[in-house]
Amino acid sequence: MGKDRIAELARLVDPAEVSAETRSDYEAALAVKDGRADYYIGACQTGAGAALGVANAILGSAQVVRLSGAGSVPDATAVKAAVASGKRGFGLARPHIEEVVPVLVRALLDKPVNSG
Amino acid sequence: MNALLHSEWAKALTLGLLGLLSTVAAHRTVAVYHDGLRTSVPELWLGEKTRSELGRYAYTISIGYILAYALPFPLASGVMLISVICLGADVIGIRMNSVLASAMVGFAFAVAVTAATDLFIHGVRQLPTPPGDLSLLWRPVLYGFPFLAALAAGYQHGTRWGVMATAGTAAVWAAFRVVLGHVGHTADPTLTAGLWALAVVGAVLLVIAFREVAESPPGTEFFEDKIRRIRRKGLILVPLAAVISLAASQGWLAGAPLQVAGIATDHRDAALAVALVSLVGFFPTQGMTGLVSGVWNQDGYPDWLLGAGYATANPAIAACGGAVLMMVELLSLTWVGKVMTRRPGVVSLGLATRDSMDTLAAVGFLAGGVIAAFATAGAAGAGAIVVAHTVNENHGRRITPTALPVVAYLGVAVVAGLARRAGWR
Repeated sequence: MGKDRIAELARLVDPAEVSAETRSDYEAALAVKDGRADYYIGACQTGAGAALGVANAILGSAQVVRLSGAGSVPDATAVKAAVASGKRGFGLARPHIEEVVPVLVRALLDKPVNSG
Repeated sequence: MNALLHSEWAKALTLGLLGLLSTVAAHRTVAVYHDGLRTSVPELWLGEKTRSELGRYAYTISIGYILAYALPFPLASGVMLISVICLGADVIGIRMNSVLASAMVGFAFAVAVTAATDLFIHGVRQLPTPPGDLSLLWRPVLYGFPFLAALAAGYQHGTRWGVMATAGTAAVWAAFRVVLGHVGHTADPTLTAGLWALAVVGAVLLVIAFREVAESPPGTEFFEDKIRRIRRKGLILVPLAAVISLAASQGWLAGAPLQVAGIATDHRDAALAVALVSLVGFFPTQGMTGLVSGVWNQDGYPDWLLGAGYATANPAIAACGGAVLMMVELLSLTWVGKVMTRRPGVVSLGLATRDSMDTLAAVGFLAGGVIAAFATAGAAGAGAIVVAHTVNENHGRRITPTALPVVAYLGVAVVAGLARRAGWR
């Protein structure tokens, strides 16, 4: 859900550095696994279902993380910690797209290249 | 017999049976409701996670959804959302070690949550100022249904397509309304005409979506052993489907808030239309997570099993219809895998449909909440909905925008009733 808005917000963080494309969950997860894309971002009501379900199966649960969900408030510190831990697939609740995506993409850009 | 079937006991026992079967399905890793949990289940088979760890994960990703999205709708309508029961069944079934114990707890959980919601509604109705015309809460979203396909066209293809589809919907709606005015015998010809318009525009979008073919689609070999595993579990899945359709036929169970609006206002045709639109919206996610994991969903492709129930009030016909639809699912898994990988237009139409359903529900229920609160408690009631919405928006949307107006309206109804009891006017 909200794929176009996620891509739009990601590009807005740094139009020169960020290339964001919308794909089906399966295509996007395979692209990350094959090295054709760096990261996967998905959204749904729980932040873990449609957002992460397919990525979880393709990339493995160690590579993905749920950043927000219904009934919770997004935490910027947790977002940055998830990025620092080397995760490559990110799931969030659709109502939190506007708040989380800029923080997430900025953290990904600021991450040292060789930090996993 | 008829009176027994329509009693609160029959409702609680039927939904209890749904809880029992869903829990057994989750325990045996045949089916789980949560798309995110479904693809984690193989970790249990591989020994990478224990039942305790996976049960904790299931609870973490489900509890917020149940409390901040799903539960307010049964509390306002008396129509249980299938996610409340099946997500609870996921947690119980995955966490518990004994299939017998998990079945008993699953049954008790479903009966308890059904009884608790019905008790809440009974309590609210006893207040000196009862909730008034509850249908006002649902009506704006109900009359927005017909534009679901047009909204999806806008999300999928852009503004120009959205405007064209909106104009097309309005034109077809008007044409059907004129025809029904002359020959129709429906209780609400305006809404019925709108649903026909939705069907026409939706069918056009589906045809366009199917015409888009992937240039170099990924292979489907990855799915083959998973498809065989799912098919072997038909003995659990088919009865589950029958119970779901039966419960829907009696107006006890719905699949999404938009369907609750249809059932709660006796517009079963609208609920059926939304169930079929949901099928387009959820088919890609449910189908793909099932095919990559080998674990299916108790509810099949959401929500055509429920749609079979909305289509008839006869419980036996509904149950047979649900069972047949689940068999169709099991037989068509290979075809579904090919659609998922070779028809990108269908997948993107599904995503656009989910976005449009979410947007329509959030805006429609906000409008309904304001109108219903005004009818119950005047301008102060309407203002309370606006304030609650604003506070939620400014504090991280802890409650989903779709459910917030319903929660706030319930609050207004209870406070207005208690104020009246205290002698305030």
